[in-house]
Amino acid sequence: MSIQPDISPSDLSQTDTSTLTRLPRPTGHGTLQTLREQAMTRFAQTGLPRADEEEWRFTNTDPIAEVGWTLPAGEYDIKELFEQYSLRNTCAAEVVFINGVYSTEWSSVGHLSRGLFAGLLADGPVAALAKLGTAATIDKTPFVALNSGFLDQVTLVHAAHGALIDRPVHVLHLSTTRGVPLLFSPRTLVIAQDGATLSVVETHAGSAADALLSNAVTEVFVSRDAVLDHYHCNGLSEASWSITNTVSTLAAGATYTHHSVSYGARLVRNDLEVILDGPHADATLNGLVLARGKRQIDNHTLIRHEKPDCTSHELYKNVVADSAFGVFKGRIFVQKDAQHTDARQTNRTLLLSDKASMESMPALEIYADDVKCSHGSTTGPLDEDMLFYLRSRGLSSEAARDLLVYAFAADMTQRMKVLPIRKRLESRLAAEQDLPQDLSIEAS
Amino acid sequence: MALLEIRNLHAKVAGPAGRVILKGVNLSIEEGETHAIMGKNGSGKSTLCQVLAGRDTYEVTEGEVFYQGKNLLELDAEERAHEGLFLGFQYPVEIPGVSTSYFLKAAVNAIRKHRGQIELDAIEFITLVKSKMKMLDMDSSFMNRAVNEGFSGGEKKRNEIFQMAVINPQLALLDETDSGLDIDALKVVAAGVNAIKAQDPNKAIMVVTHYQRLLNYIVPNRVHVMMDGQILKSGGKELALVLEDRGYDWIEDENTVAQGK
Repeated sequence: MSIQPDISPSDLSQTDTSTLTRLPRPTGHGTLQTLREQAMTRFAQTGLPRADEEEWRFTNTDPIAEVGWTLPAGEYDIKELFEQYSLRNTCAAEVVFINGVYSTEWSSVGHLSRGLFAGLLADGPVAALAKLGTAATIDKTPFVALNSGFLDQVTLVHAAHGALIDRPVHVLHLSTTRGVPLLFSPRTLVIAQDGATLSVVETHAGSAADALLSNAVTEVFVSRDAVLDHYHCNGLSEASWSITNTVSTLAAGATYTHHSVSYGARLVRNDLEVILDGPHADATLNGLVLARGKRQIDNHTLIRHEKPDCTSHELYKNVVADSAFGVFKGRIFVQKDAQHTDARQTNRTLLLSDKASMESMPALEIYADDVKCSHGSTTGPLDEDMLFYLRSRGLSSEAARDLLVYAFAADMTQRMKVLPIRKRLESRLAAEQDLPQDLSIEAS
Repeated sequence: MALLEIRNLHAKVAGPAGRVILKGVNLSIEEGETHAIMGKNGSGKSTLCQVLAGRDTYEVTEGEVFYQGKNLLELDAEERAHEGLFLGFQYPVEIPGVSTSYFLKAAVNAIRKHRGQIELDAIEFITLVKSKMKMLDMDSSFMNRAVNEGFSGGEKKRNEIFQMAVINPQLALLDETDSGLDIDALKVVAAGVNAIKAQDPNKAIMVVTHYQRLLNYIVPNRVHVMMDGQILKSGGKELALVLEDRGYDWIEDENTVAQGK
């Protein structure tokens, strides 16, 4: 690695981002180097998102530029964290990163049986490289460009034509205190070839007491008739910023389910774009936000119906407590030719204190004339009818409240098919509400 | 004193502009009795149930209610449940995310704890529940489903009576438990209510219904007609048959005449 020259900002009004652009970047030749160079040129032009941009009205990322970021290096003791988060005993493969660096020691990867590859892109099927950067293009957001500027150890999960992978693949990013602010740029590429069935779990977790910026990008390609269950669990420490960009492309007849869970980090911004790019594709987006303390958790989703006869179902639920702030912007775009689109969006928010707040913004742009699209948004305290029902059966007011908060969130975890993830989240939910661990509804 | 003694109960929807709904209800239910409350929609029957169960969206402005000699209106909703009062809801609430099993165990143990009884463990609870499920002809998968979620109207009502069987209250207020039931389900539910009552002759029941047919199966000692927030007429079980035959208007007329005197 060598230090590249500073690129000065083209626009003087933008925040000085030299804390990011001055960091040393990987060097080399070939595809990755070309992407890195284009990306950093792009980032130098745009800088960080500005508060006057529509998509960033509620989320100010300027403070990121004020931190003296460093890149990860060295060894860390992560045994305890690993044991807490690893799915080693129940998954098909586990790709482990520690403070942003791939860990050979903790990962269990490679060319696995029945058409599955999981590991670093450099070790996987050669054709996969051509997909990199084609879904999450560097002009999507400045953070995609910034991530792409540091492209190095890319995770690849690849299910071959017709492969049926019955155990999940776990991509685990762990972070621990290192004493200095760290910037990670996790990058993941998921490919399910025609007719393949695959589950992928991305976990971002850690206990870092220092500032941390995890700027992750995930690109997903679900080919014809493939089925992909995709989990994204974001539980970074409260000292962290977590930015994620996920772009998923669905071919004809593909089925894609995305489960997003965010409860960590002082600032979480998730951008999720799902492109229904072949007829009869089906996308389900399930989101759960648990915002406590002073956290800000912002989900921006965009579902693009590009072809006819596709369906999308989106349900995001937010629990916003204390003085936390939640943002949900759900865009649904229906292209002119995407007739018979059926798109449903629901956003529900539970506000648990007077200081908690939520911005919920549905946005439908429909250019086809024969479609079914709906959206609904509710924000408020716990339902009085439910509270009374529980109290009339003898539960104290407090016990009823605790149970209903749990229930509101567990309604989302119960949709998860990867049971260890579901159980872990439900244990967490129960513990937060001071409830016993045995109240989970059994998986059917 | 009666098990439940309602004297001149007035209640309105809480809040400054809240509508007055109960306008002086008087009713006395002795241990072991079954009373039926009938009347048109909007006459205040459901409000009476909710006020008795402690719903705080209603405000009692006048009158008294004594239950087992205690001032019922001073108790919170959960305390009323602890004391043996049960409301079977007209519209049981769906609670996605909570299993019926957990919910009911929490309810049973909250009540036991209040009474100084040892809480039931998982096995004791299952044993208790199984016999009641059989009594109400319920599928075994039911306990693991979310509370009322995706249930048909009839299933929800059956679930209310099932909860009543498990909780085993002293006084049950059943708010239109028969509406939405077909005749077979109605028989199952009524048989369940009768079986619960048969366990303890001192239990009392107040059923709210629009239809006489329920009273063929749950036979009342007294029938009361509610109109505009008051009980205007009371009689034996034969009154329900008269109402079925003649409707409610004659009572209104009769009452107008009586007041005019």
